[in-house]
Amino acid sequence: CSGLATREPARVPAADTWTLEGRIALRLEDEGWHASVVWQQRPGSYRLRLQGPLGQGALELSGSAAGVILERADGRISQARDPDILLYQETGWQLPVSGLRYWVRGRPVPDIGTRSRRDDQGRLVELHQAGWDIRYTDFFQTGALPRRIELVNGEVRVKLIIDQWQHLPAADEADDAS
Amino acid sequence: EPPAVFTAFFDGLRSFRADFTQEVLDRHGDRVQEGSGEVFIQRPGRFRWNYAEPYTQVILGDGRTLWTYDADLEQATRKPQEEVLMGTPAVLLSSVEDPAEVFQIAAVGGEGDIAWVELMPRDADSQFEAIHLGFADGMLRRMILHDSFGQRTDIRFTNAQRNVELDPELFRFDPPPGTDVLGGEH
Repeated sequence: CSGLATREPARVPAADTWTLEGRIALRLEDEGWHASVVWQQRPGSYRLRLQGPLGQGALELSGSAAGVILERADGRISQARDPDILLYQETGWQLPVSGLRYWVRGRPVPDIGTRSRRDDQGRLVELHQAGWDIRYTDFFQTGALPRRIELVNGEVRVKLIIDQWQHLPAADEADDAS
Repeated sequence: EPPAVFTAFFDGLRSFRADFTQEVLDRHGDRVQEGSGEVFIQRPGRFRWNYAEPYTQVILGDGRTLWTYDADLEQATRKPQEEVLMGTPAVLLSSVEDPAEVFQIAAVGGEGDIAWVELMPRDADSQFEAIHLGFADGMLRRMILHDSFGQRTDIRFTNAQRNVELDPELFRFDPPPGTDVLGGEH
């Protein structure tokens, strides 16, 4: 379901069952938008809900291997193969959903070109992939999961703050701490 | 003709101020977010929602521009206020247009000391399927927003004051230095 990774990575991330709650801000020249984010990731599918303050402009992206559906608050539904393209076509927002699925976990997208830097604790702090320059500027104490990520791609700037990670008990394992 | 308890509050409403707590429940009824803060309304057309929890956010209508600001993201977006559809709660409280033109308004019974009024947007593709307002002894106590995903935003007002003097500065947006202030056309 990810537009970037052509083949499933050799080591399927065991912990592909998580939920993140946070906020995202996007900037394109002097235009901007920000929203709250709830992202529920399961091994074969995900649901990403974006919502402006006071419940305005809510929309939901639900994706699986078959493709992705975008549903808006007014009930309009649209579909596509790739979430990044669908979101851009429908809203004009350029958000790298396919890549973020890995980047939010502090991991590069597998099997594509990568330049990266890690800090002395082995945490990914800088990553250059798929045209995006990604910096991890804050982490959670436990599990070293990212808390604040800034992404730049040409004129587009994205700031993501993760307020809370949730893992289904069974899925949590040491892998997350890498 | 809107129910008496609705008109008793909205007719002659010039300003409103209250502390609020907010719970957002998804379609399964699970709580996905909690928040709290202070709301100020000055009719016509001005409102300010100060969220203190879970993080600092401001939603401010100064009569011409709608500002939404997130302190941690250091970003604010501005949008012409008239683009904000009448169907949104913030505008409902602050606008002087006749709500009956925008909503079908009906009393839907009481629960304890609260008298509930339901507002159904007449505009089919409004973002909210229904807004429920709860009144008690002439004061607005609850506002529940039902969106088309089945999500509910349940807001409770306390220490509410009606037609109280409000400082006009409250409705002027001046973000801290370093904030990106951007147009929000999307």
